Amino acid sequence: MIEVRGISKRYRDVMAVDGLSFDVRPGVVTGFLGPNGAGKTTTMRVILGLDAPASGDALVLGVRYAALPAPMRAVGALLDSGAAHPGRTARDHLVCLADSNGIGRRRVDEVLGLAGLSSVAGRRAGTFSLGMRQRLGIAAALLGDPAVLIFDEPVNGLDPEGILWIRTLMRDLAAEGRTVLVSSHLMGEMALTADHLVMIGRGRLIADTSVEDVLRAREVHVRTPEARRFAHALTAMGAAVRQDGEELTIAGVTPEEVGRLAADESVVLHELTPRRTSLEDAFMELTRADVEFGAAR
Amino acid sequence: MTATTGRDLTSVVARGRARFRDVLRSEWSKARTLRSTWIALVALVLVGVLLTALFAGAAGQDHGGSDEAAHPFDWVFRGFVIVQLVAGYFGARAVTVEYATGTMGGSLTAAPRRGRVLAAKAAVYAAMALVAGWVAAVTMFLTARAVLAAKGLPFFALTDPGVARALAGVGLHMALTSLFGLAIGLLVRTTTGSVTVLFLVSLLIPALSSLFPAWLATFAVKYFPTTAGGRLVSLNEGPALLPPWAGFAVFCAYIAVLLTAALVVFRRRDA
Repeated sequence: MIEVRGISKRYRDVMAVDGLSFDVRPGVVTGFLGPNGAGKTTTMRVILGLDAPASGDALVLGVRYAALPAPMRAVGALLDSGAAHPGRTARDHLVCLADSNGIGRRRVDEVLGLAGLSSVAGRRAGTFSLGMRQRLGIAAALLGDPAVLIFDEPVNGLDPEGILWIRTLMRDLAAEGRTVLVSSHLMGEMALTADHLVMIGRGRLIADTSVEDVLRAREVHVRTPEARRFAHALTAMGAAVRQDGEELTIAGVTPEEVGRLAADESVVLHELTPRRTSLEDAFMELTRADVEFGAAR
Repeated sequence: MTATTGRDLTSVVARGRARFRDVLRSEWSKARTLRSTWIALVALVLVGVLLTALFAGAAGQDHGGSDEAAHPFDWVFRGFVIVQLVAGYFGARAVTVEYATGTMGGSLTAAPRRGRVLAAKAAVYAAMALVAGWVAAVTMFLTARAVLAAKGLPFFALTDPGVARALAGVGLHMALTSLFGLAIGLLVRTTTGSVTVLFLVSLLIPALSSLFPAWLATFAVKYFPTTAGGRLVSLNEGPALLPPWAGFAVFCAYIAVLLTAALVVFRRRDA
């Protein structure tokens, strides 16, 4: 359980976070979505007590982070790709962190195994690939077997196998009843990983909604020579359909459901196109503005 | 929802509480698992031995030494002024390495009470510098005796007045200087910046003191941090100088003020 209560944070003349409030519930993966520079990392740093907010408060399990009796046993975090000193071995890196919370050596070896790093535990972190460093950071987050997990852009720079591993891990952690907050600037990644979305732009909350609602709000555009028959079938399924000659605009069902129905009803389709929702449009608009801003600089 | 929050926290509390000794153990692990820690400590001893050999080798010649080094013991042990630079660098490393490698965020996430982190670092690094300083003192003493004996010159015995205190003082001075470096490191956050400050404070300013106006020069010789602290490692005496333990106390006071300033900044600053 994480409660963010109206936090604001300014860096010189940039308002990084501006009166942001949201809750992160246990048992689901909450995606923290926003373009680069939207304030995701800052918000996470405030939750972890690394940066002090100008106003507002962030509570983890009902208290401020610094008040947690054994922080790593409550919260596991991956920030800055879990930076490790390049001269320290993977195992020593974890031992240093484990010691600070009275976590034993056996647990260190356990998380090395969980992260698939047992065979390289004695290697210096400086020799690790980005993917291995990411795994080491996640091993560190898991050290205290925490109830809350916070991952900042965990799939950045990972190969497909690594992305799949992290995605599965996050879903498993949430299924065990843990609170999982994971940030990303990619809508597609979040649609696959998260159950719930907290979307921010320029430090402000844009949406706090379930992923399913976002996807269900999509319109599907279909072109078929059997438009009339298909429209009836779709309406019978509960979809809202608008017909214009051979073209149908469908709302209230997912593209997958439309495709399956077409197969079941043996309807020939010439085109099936999901259309972005207003929420996705809003996000794309933000991302685009961000890119333009970056290019103009 | 509140009930869930409460239960979660209760179960977390039931699973243990991080204590100061855990943070202390973590800092010790951090220090001992870096090769550079041991290289710095070996360098501290080696620099001491080499400089002592040089100064002892030059003993008996007309070196035109200044008044403060007039005592033969001080002359031979003069190298400790450079050794203290290594000790200061060693202490600064305790934090600058974490800033340089981006691991400070992780450290403070694991141990968010920053006063504790600073106290643990201070304890671990001062203890290591203390032991290294004592090892340096003994090896410097033996080196000086060997070199002087080879030249047929007399040297002090451990039982001579002040000698044991001066040798013990090398360790104490190095421990304090490492804390000086630690405080500077926290304030400056880069290794090069810290070493520059240490160099200015412990070498350049004392060396230039003869160019200062008289009142400032008197102050610099008597109360400047490193010269006051160095009184413990000196057998010189005189009205212009503080007694050994008084000088040491003055140095301690400087360190206390600096560490307090560093703590205030460390607590307030975003990690």
